[in-house]
Amino acid sequence: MKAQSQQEVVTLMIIVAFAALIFWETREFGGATNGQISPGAFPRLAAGTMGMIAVIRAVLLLTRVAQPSHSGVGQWAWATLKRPFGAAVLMTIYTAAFESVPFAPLTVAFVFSAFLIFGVRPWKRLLIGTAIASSFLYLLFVQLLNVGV
Amino acid sequence: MEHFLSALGDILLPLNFALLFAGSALGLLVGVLPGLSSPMALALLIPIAFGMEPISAFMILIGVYVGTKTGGAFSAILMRTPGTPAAAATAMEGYPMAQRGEAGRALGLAIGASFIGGTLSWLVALPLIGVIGTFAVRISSADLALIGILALAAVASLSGNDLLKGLIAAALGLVFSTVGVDELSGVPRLTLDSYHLLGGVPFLAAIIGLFAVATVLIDISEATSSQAQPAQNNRFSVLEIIRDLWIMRKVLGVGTVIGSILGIVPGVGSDTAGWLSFAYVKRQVELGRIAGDRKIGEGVPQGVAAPEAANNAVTGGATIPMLTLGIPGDGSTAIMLGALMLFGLQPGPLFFRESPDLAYGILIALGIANLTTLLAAFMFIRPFVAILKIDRAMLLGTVLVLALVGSFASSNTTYGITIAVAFGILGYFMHRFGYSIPALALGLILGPVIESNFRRALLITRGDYWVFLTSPISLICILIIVFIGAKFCFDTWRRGRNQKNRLA
Repeated sequence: MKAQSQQEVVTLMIIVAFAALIFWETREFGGATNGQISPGAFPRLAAGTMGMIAVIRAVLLLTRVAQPSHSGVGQWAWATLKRPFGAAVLMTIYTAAFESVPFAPLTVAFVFSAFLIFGVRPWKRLLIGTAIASSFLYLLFVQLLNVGV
Repeated sequence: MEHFLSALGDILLPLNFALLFAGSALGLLVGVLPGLSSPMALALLIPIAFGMEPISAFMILIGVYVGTKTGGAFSAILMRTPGTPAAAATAMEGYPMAQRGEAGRALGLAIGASFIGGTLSWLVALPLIGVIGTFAVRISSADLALIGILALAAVASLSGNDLLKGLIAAALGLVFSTVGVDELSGVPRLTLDSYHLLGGVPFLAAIIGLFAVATVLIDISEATSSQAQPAQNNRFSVLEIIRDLWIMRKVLGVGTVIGSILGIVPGVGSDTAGWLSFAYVKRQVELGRIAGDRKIGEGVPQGVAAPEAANNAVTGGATIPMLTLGIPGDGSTAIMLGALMLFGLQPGPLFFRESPDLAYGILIALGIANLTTLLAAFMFIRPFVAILKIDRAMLLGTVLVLALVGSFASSNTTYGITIAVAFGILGYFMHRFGYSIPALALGLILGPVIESNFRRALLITRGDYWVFLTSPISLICILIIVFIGAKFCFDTWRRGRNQKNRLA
């Protein structure tokens, strides 16, 4: 089996596991009474549909009736994951520090780091860009919209 | 008529008209800049618009929605980089025109054709909305549940390249929509004992994550820091453009009809309308029915006008199911429907009866937005072309902060940011593995509508599932859903057979 098919089957199994988790989480809701269906029925119906389709897709892939429809992790240049990963780490830090660090310095640091990770060069453009973008964000959210940051 | 005139009066108030114009200009700007999209801009604007009166908020949202359709043509023509997917077909002939020194003419044609397509489709939609709106109030709960499921199936089959993956994404959206306290029984569901989740997945933060954060993550894995150099000679004569458009009236008409019809179908979108009308122009050139010595790929002006008329005409068509049934056709209309819900309004068959001023206001604004977009395009054509030189990496970095702070502003807690980041990462991986993000968003939005109507139908009939097969509307919906499934099975079987033949 090709690497892409393997990866897709793995993601489909994660989806099936997620559907099973929904069934587990809604196990305590009762069944239908007098036409009133239980609060757990619709989530189970949606999760069941999702899990069933994932199984069908996996079977089609394993029997080679269907082909993987994505480019495949194996074909990704792993280097292309560096920036999204860096951005995800940066966003996590920003979220964690949002309530403890004042908005202005936190945002300047975030914008500078984001531009750096995204490849803005040379340094002069990086610094000027950070100053302009941070000023714009400060004016928009703090001065204009008065967001409680 | 009384509500129509009252809504028109509201829109013509200086503040509302100014917001509509500002929205159109902002939409053009968003459309011009590759990497920014209409759903992203709308998602980022909702926290800002939420503090306004509903009618004022929708002026800016509708302006952006219509403006982005036209703005996408600028970078498509000048740089062969469509600002929006809808303008991809425009680049095919627009860029060769720019290379021949006709950038101004191509831009003028795109702006003019966009105005004509958008306005004509709106004029067609106006009476249809009245007719369908009258009919829609008689639709039963079972019908509405099935119309919602049909919309999900249509989006799942048309917005991605794999029906099963589209359906998985839509079902995932439905699952997320059930998180929180159940409206009918008051019981908490899937909250993982978190008090934050009692109110459900915060819609706005999730949408910002899916359409803004995820888009940035997708783009930065491909984008490089660079300053683009758009083509020059972007001047044009308005009189010459009007003359050109008159000569092209037939292709403009065909583009408008294609866009208006496809706009009604959930999931098809502006890009398909643009490509179909481009295919029509291509065929006409091949058959020698379009005067001139240019071949396709050499800058045929009709190849700019028809796709632009078509992708703007989609706005009129999409208005019909959005306002009469509460069924969004794409990511942008889904976000606007979500915005209505955030204002405590219930889009659907009763929308015109319960909130007539706002419903008619949205309807009229969609028409006037074509005019404000035309004005804004003529006024700001030069600065927008200059803005094309902006560094894309800087733009994406700024959008990321806008998204994070915007999701904070929507709830005034960092929980909003957490949800936006989580859905952004989910959207990024969904995109990489070929799952449709609009299908998930639509599932999230239509989930409550489908569930409440599904349960209400069963409650009324004391659990009789035959209720879903008794009305003509339900039957038609089921037949179309079965057709979509059957077509997928046939296509899968045919692909499998072709593959076996190749291997043999």
